[in-house]
Amino acid sequence: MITREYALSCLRQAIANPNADFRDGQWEAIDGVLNGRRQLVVQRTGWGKSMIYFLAAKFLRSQGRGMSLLISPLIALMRNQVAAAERVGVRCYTINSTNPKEWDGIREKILSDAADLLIVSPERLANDDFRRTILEPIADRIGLLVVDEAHCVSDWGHDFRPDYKKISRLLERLPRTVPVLATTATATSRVIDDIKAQMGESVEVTRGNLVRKSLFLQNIRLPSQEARLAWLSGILKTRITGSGIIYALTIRDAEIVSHWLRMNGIAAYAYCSKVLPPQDMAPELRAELAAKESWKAATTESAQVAAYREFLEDLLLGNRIRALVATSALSMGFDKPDLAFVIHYQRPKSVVDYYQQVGRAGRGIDSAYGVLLNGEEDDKIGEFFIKNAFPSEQDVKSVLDAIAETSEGLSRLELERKFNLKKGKIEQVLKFVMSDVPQPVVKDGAKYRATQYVRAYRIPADNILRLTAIRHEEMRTMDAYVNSRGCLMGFLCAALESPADSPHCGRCRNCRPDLALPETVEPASLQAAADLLRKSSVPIVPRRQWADPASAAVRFGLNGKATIPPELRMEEGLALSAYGAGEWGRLVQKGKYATNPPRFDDRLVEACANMIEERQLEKHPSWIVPVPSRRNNALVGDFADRLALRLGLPCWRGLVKVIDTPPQKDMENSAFQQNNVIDAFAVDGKPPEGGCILVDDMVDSKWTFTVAAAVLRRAGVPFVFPLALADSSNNGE
Amino acid sequence: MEIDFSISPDTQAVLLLCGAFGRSDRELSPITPGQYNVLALALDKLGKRPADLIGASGPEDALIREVCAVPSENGRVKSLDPEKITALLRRGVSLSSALDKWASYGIRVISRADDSYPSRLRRHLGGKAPALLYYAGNAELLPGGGMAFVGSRDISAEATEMIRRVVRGCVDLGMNIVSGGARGADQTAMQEAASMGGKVIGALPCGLMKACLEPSNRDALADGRALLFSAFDPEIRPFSYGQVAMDRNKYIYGMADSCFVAESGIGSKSGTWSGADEELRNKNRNPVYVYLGKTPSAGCADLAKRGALAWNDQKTVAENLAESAHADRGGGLKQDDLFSGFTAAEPEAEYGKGVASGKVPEPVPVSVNAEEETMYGIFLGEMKSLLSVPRKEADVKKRLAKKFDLVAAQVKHWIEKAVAEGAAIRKEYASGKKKSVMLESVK
Repeated sequence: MITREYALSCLRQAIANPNADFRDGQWEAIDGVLNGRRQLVVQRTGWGKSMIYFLAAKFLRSQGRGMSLLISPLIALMRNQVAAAERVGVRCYTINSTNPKEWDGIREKILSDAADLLIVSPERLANDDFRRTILEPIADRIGLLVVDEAHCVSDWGHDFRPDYKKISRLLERLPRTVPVLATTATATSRVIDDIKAQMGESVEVTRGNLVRKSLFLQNIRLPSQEARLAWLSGILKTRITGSGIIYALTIRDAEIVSHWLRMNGIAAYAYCSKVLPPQDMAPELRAELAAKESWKAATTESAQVAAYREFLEDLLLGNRIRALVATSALSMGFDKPDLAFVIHYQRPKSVVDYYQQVGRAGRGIDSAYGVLLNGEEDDKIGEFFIKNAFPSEQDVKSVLDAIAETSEGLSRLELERKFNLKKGKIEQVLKFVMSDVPQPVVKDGAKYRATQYVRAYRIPADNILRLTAIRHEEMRTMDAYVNSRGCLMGFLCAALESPADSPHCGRCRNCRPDLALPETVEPASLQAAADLLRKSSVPIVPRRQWADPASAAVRFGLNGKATIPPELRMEEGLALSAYGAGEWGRLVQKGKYATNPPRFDDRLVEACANMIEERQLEKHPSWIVPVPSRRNNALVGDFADRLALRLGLPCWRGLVKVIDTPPQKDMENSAFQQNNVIDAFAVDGKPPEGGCILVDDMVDSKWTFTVAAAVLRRAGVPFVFPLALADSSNNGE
Repeated sequence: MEIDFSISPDTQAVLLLCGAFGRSDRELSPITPGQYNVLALALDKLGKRPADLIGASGPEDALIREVCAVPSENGRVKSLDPEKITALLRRGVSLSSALDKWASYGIRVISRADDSYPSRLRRHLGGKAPALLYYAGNAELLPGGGMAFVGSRDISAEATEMIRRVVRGCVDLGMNIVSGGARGADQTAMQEAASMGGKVIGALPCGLMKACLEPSNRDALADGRALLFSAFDPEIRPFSYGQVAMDRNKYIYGMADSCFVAESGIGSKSGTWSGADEELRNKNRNPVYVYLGKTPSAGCADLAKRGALAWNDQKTVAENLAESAHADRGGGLKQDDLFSGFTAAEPEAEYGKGVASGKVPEPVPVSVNAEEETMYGIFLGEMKSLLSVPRKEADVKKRLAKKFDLVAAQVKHWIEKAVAEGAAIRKEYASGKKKSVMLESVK
């Protein structure tokens, strides 16, 4: 029997503060868990929810119960949590995509009873391999299930996440013999009712108010990107001190913002799902990263990303940089008590998202800023996310039909070869249908196989309509927040149905207009930002792997391995612009579609030449070759001729298109894109001496460049530098 | 499409106690069927149900203590340990994870404590009725009934045709077709029934997960024409456990009103013969029909001598059934409430009346050409080919366990059986202090 006194002594010892006391409801929740009563704790971030499960896990162990399992959405949080748990004397481990080499060791630890708390992400938990190799062998021993960010299990929540749907399915079937603790900062009554339905009606709810007294909220409408960039650099140099987070909606925006801030002497780095160190990273940071064990040990790109992200988190935690410019990859769970600001470069999609993100700031300090910038593109991005949140009925039907036709099922690769559908789309379809009940498809080893429900399966259109309507409503609520004249904290609390002490925080822009940050920008800075946006080129990172090794093996006489041999690869190249964006991007669009006959403006020739000269390439190309086309060979050829003239290099026309192929932009996934062009190019005659620049108008999947470069390399060209006028790939995250 | 995958609180408790959840390597092994019967009986005496255990607080809980204090009636079952019962009941995450996986394959589960549990099985098998039944497909077929079809895997054209005729007759009468899903007679019956749109009940000798995904089963399940059920954990692959195939026979007989044997080998190595023979000796037996035809199979002829009824192929199905209504069908257990099997007659049924009454079937001489139909038969065949040279017993055990994916205890049991039957000879050699046990084949 654990008494409050004993628990309190543990708390005090854990946080090394002899005068500490439980917050209202903390002990009650621990006691409830220990006595098998399910708990839902709705409290703001930083309130002390984790102390509940740390102590509960510890006490359950002392009563001879098994270890606790914590399902928590983000890896950043996990690393944070492990350290915090250890301070409480809880032996804590995490299993996630970044540490597969440690999995066996951790499983052994759990099986030999040497672990108290295991943290896994919902993605892991929904993964069949993880369930079979890790979860099932240890599941008998799980003494407590903790679901963090529990609002995600609700259909009424802000977001549909198939992985959380799997957690719902687990919760609903979990017998009362296993205690459950669910925690969240943001749950409306509707969400709470939904969580209750899954955890059992007897669940006890603790609910506190969400007001964060240290936070100063302000919203600023600045339609153009250059205005927001200029505002950001100005405000971070003059008004806001300390380190913080800037949120952007897309990877490309995060890169532009961080690049701009660095240009202005502000140490800021992008933090996204596939981020790697930028070329203009501070040399001392670059050296430090290079010395890191995890970076040196990283052999794959994903391991490098993980090591770099960890490095970035540490830089921010240690206040060694001013800001991380993050997409939602760094949302829930990043714990830094002295975070001085959270600025949104674009409007987030819901109040829940916004509160979760802005709530990172000012936990342990007296004063922090939460500023929301609202731009002209916000509605468009919002609509894009809403439209693409669910797979289309047609895609679902074709994938299910194909699987149902086979008796042995289809693997992911086989599906990609079969369908001209983006890899992400196929994945989305599979994840979606596999989270639905009854389930039309199961994963059996590497194959997706049809169940008896496949023929009768219909995408839950009503539910999707309902969720889509909710998302639109959430977007409108965010818009109302941006335009609110009343107390901003009051608005957020009301939207989240938080019990509030007072309708006015007395701190935000609308309660205290005298404290408002200026909403104007320096004209010089505005001009510089506009220049950057116009000029911002996009790197073309060479592909390293074939999407369909078999067809590549036939074409180039290779051994069928997935790796593209280095002697056939291209160099890292450049796209002048993002298609349709900035001055250059718009000129490209105009030259291709709004000029008759199509012709690219001379300013683009000049811009490309400048870009190449500024880049100071390590290897000097000796000639230029255009990517040939059977539809409109003049457009790119003409441009290559003019560029060659400007650069004083010869233009060679010996790369030829030998077969007609449908436009590459109609190919939706990598395997289709590769195979569409794998036999398309050949070399006519002997290429000139030295390396070359390979010119095309657009780059998206990079397969045209990859295959054309391989053909040239095979013909003896020592290096191939790809150059495109515009990058038309979709950079959303 | 709404399908209720929820389970009753009783089934939840029974699963926690008895479920293997797809793993045989658990540190914490579930309780045995025998132990479960003891526990169920103890609960029954206390006026409690399995679901009451869910609320128990721990090993010190009064209910758990009381239940574990009840000794098994004949002392054959290892007594229950409160610590273990508590630990098993706390396997909640294993349970919900397994239920979720099964549901994704369309598999549901019921326990003997549920009303929807087939009372035919309860009545037919008493305490041997499996504590848990996994099923997929049309739940309305759970009550069972209809005609069971059994027979060899390699079946003659004549018997095949006969099965088809009888199946058609049964389907015309609206009867279910009950079968085991094996090659040969089973599949012939099922396919014929399916082609006529009849209702099919399949008792599988393995877990349901694989079978549920078979395209032919998939369609029948989707159409509501079929029920597949199994007493074995859904993840158990065919041939993982030896006893499985033999136990399955009981369920085929138990789910039907009568059984039709088209063709059979003879002796304990024939699964068809063994199953039918066992049924004929069950005091709750159903009528067993054998097809004798022009040249009766050895097994059918023998079964006819043991009490099976000869099928008259000149008469309709209805006429054949009407005739047998007058025949002796043995007694029937009284129908009953929650734990139907647990009457005074129960323990005998549980521990096998063969052993209890001393009526062990005569060992049948093993011949090389004997029908390899039972798991044991297949095992024996493999063992004999291994023993073309004498080998160390430990080595033989290891190879056979690996080959058939069997637990050591099962291999040991069958080797003992083979030695007892005279199918292999055990010799001990000593050289100095070292002793080695060799197995040799019979010359």
